[in-house]
Amino acid sequence: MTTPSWLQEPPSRSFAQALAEEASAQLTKIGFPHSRHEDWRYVDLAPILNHTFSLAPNAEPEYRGPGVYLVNGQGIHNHDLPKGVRSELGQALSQSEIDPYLSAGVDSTAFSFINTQRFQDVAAISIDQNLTAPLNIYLMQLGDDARTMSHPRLSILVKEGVRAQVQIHHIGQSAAWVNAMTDIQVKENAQLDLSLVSTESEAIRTDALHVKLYQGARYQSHYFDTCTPLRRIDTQVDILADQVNCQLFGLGLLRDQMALHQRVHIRHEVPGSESSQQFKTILADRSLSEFSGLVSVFQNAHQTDSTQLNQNLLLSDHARVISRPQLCIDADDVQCAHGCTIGQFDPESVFYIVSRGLSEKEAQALLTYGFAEEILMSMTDRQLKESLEGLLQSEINYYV
Amino acid sequence: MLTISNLSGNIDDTAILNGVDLTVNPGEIHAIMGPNGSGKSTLSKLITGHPDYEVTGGQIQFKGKDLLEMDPDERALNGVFMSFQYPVDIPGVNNESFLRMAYNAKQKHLGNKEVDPLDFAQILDEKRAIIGMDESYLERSVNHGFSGGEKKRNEILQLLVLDPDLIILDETDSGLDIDAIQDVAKAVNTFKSKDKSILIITHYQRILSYIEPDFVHILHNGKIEESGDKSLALKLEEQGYQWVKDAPNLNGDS
Ligand SMILES: Nc1ncnc2c1ncn2[C@@H]1O[C@H](COP(=O)(O)OP(=O)(O)O)[C@@H](O)[C@H]1O
Ligand SMILES: [Mg+2]
Repeated sequence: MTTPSWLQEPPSRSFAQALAEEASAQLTKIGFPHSRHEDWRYVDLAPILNHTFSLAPNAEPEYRGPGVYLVNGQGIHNHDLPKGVRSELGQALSQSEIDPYLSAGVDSTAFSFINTQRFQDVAAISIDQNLTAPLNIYLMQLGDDARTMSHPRLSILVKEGVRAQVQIHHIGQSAAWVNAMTDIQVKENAQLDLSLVSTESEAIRTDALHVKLYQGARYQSHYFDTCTPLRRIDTQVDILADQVNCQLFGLGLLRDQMALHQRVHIRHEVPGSESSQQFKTILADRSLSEFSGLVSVFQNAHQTDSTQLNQNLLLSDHARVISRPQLCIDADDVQCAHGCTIGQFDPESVFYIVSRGLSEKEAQALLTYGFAEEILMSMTDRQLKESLEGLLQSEINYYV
Repeated sequence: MLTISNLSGNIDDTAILNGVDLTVNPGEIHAIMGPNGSGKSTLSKLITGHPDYEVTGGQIQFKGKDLLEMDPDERALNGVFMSFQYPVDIPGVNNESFLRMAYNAKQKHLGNKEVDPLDFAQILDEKRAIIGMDESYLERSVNHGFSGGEKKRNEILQLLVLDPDLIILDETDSGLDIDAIQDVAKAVNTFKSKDKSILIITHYQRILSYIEPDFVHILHNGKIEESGDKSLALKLEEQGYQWVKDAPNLNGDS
């Protein structure tokens, strides 16, 4: 597949040009995504390829409260940032200042390199004090219903020993393609709880997250997805030292022809760290869920402890699930477990509930809720948790 | 309360019960005993309406109505409750919320006002004290990660909350230590009254010394083979089931 013409010439940029060149070289090497690539076999790119997307003009953000706003991939606005948070514009930084914030891309994910080629600015966020409330980051795509695209670029650095919560929200008009890339670094003994919430926008969204975890770092992330026609999230986590704890959670409520492609690669490069993944989807209509999770345990990365679980509640005969939990182990003395489940309601559970006087439909709603709530339960921010529980509650009748 | 006549039932096309007759009047406590695999749980699943169990003959009347015509949830709303031999866990569903939903479903059925979470918490506090269950179990998912004994206590808590008219305990005593059995018995005995009925399915005489049955039945070969008073349970305890198995089958089939 050749790159569509409207993606061929990256616009020029006044900073981080070397990185753009590196990304271009990578992209040339791997080529534009195509269904013959194993990583893209199940991804129907027609929603992107059937249109010509152009850059959206800059726009004023819709104010949602304190936080960092990235509008149409270019305007970056900071509003009332909490103490301890610094958010700078990448183009205002010197080469040596911006370099530590950025990587060329994620694994062999073409779209992450496309982002690196084309981003117009970077929100370079560093957190050097414990936060008492979550930092909100809004990725907004604003404008009329034109076929616009954006390549928002974000970098989050949590300094040594600092504890922080960050919530990234995808917001905006629905005809767009938003191709985001986020670099995350959690330094020694620091802790980050990250949420990536895409429940408000029907735009096509491709996200790449490149996470680097240093000694003793604790990282937890929750992804929530509803209502997008095409959603792909590529997550690469590099565990660079021991005593790291990394927990990834995901929940997708899929209906109509929605497709959610979740691709995770956790790299245990050194001994003595833990990682876990739990990704769930609930599928109605003709929706599609693909989970492809790889845990690599490098040579000598002994005492690695890793679990990987993909669970899918299939509520329609026409929905599809593709699940590929994979392990690649080059060390001894490691504990790795992986698995996937694809199923409908457990009849024993339904009977148990109806035998207490609830109707069959109520039983199904309760089981669906419980299935999803298992992911929400592990969230630390109560406010977001409750708002997502409310959303879940209101969506559930569609599914049962 | 409950009249079972000539009931036959299958699981997966295998006949398990053939011709069970049992009448339980209001105010009575009955015990059903029988060897492993004799169909005790099958009988309780047929009464509660488990979809995998098929009635192939006979009738069940409950408070004058045809129970077999009702869906399982209607049976529950009309006053049937079974404490499961193997309670199911429901990850992600808060135990207290589940109890409240079940309670409110019943209230709605009775034409009463549904209660809000705060009022329900008070009701629940009283019930919880009766069975001696720690508050922390309310915060957890229904039966999820509960030990066998904790699950059984949770069944009894549901029983107390739902206040049914016909109580079926399917081996609630199995796997419980003596203190837990006494707690269960204490809770179940609060239902002893002229308008409630209790059906205790058990292997052991032990629980029957705390909840004294008026009648004891032995289920074997798919039917009630022997009925008596509580001395029958003592006889089983002393002699085991062999004499039941050896006894000539009154109906001629072997
Ligand atoms: N799904 C099933 N298919 C076929 N036979 C079953 C199934 N479930 C239970 N049984 C059989 O039905 C008989 C009665 O089981 P059950 O009612 O559970 O006995 P009890 O409760 O008295 O121990 C047993 O022989 C058991 O093996
Ligand atoms: Mg049984």
